[in-house]
Amino acid sequence: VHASDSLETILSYLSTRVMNTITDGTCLRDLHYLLEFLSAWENQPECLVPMAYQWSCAVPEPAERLEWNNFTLRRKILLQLRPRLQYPDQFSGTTGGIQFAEEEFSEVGHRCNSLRLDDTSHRARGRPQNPISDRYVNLLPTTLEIGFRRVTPGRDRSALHLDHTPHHNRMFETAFSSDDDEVVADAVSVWIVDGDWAPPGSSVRYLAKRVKKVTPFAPILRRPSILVIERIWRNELEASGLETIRLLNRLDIDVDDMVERDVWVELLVRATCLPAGLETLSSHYWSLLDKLASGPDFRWMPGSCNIEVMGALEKAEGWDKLEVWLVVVWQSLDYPTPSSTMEDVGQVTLKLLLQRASALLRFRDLQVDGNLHYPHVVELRRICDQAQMEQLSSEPPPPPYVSFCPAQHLSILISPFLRLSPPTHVQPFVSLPFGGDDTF
Amino acid sequence: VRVWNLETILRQNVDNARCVSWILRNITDPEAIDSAIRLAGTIRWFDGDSDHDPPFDLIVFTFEACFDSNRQLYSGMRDRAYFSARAILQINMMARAQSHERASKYPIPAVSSTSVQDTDPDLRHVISMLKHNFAPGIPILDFPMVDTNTHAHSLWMSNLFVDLTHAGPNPTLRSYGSYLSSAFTDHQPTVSNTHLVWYMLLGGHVEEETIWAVDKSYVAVSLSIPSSARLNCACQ
Repeated sequence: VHASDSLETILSYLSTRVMNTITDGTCLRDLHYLLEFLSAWENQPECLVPMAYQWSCAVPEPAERLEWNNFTLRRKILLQLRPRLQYPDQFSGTTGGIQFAEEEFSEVGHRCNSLRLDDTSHRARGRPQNPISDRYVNLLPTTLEIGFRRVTPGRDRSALHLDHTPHHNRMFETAFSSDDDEVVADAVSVWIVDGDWAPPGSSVRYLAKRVKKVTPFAPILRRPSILVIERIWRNELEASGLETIRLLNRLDIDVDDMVERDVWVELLVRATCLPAGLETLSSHYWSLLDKLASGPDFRWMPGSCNIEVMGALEKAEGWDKLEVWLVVVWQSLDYPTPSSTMEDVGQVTLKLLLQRASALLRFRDLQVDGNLHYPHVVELRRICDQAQMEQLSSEPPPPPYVSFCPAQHLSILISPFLRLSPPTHVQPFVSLPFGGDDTF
Repeated sequence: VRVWNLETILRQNVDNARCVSWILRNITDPEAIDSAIRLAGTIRWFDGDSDHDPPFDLIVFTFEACFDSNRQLYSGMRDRAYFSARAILQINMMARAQSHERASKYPIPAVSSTSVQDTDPDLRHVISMLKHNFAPGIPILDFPMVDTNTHAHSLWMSNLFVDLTHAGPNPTLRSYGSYLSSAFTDHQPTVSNTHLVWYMLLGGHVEEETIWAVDKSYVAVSLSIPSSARLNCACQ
């Protein structure tokens, strides 16, 4: 028997027992010990993820059946922070942070009927009166932690399949109502593992509740939220664009947060094209788009040449944003481009360049470094040249011709030390612009 | 892929029990004695077809002979002390699983923790278990710490955990910290054993074959017994 095979086999049998235990409410104390072990288990196999998801979805129903109407239990499930595990170096030291009292752990099995156990166990002393309630309190956070605390974006998700049942909605409602960021973060991570199953917009809708409650996002919750958006943004934008943008605004995502930057370029472009996107997306994301659109992560996106956005920005005279948007547009132009589109883009670009001289250099660089079709490079160069000509012609007359030769000036400065005479005939290699000189 | 055959394993367990008893009662070769004591700590005494009376007194004698009058471990006797302590625990706990009467026939000797203060963690741990189980009653298990104890020791402990849970009564578990620390081991068989125990405790049924097959150390350990001793045993 191969060792890894037998481990998975044992786990699958174990999973069945866990489900039965959650459902019938017996042996909950033993179950708690097992789940704590699994959540501390350092080398968890991936097969544990779908099992833990199944367990977490099974928790609310029996808890509700037994005690859900009991407001105290409900509050406990939502609010109570279960004891957090400490990690190996803390287990061995006497000053370690192990948070479980040693006497908590004693006989197991046989007397696992929770009611009978609590009547007989010495550990019942000083404990709350409702044993079933108490033992359900930590099940949901623990099962979610087992399955999703260690989810990483790099893992191969194709091998994982979560078995979704009608119970999962109730689980999410309960988890997202919690004030414990770790519980919410673990629940969010379900979408990282398997985001394709969910109704579009569902993760954002759950997180939107969080947005109303918490400022700012806790780091432990922020990270999975960003990963979820990166993974399933299309569905979320389609179904609840405004809520997604509001969530983005709260998350203040930066380049370092991204796993796949090219995905974010597309996401931000699409978000901007939404009806509410232009008004709602924060200026932070325009800076981010600016950074990404100029970098190597930009890739051609069919259909992102949005003339309406361009027109709106022009009308509003939002020159900063228009500059960013035009960088995107030029790199996203189809080829061949309809002449009307080309004409519109050209006109707006020229207008921008006349308004913002500083943008000229940016668009010159775009001709070299950007992802443009060659005819568009030629056209953009023509527009830049035209803008430069018009800028220069509208400028006041320059001062008389001055030649500036750094070498000459430098040699004057250092000649006393070098005992050299300054050169007398040096060709100037930098000229200040002069009317009619188009060799800038 | 190794196919486990329950009948073969049961027979081997009986043979091992017989061999160990015979060697300890008849052989004076220290190497053979060490191998037999080592094997004694892995045999499922009183389980299956093995109703053999273990040479408990001889093992206890061997264990106690590892220490001087000040209860300090003699130099070079670490392995013998460790494996004889394991064998004492194994026999005592399997007897407790059977009945109070049987357990009373194999009492754990008194040990002093000062005897092993300066020794390795595995020996310290097994001695502490002897101390915890000195009094009769439900067996008490204390998990080794994964960062200090060896994999081999942890596996032996987890096998004992499986056996006791399977045979009943369930052991009392000491130290939640050490229990959780075993989740940090990268030694899969130890983790598998822990899962198996919880499966049983949650009411799961485990086939006899699985229980016997889960302990892969039996076969490996039995191979280490000297061939001369095997031959002698087979002649009986």
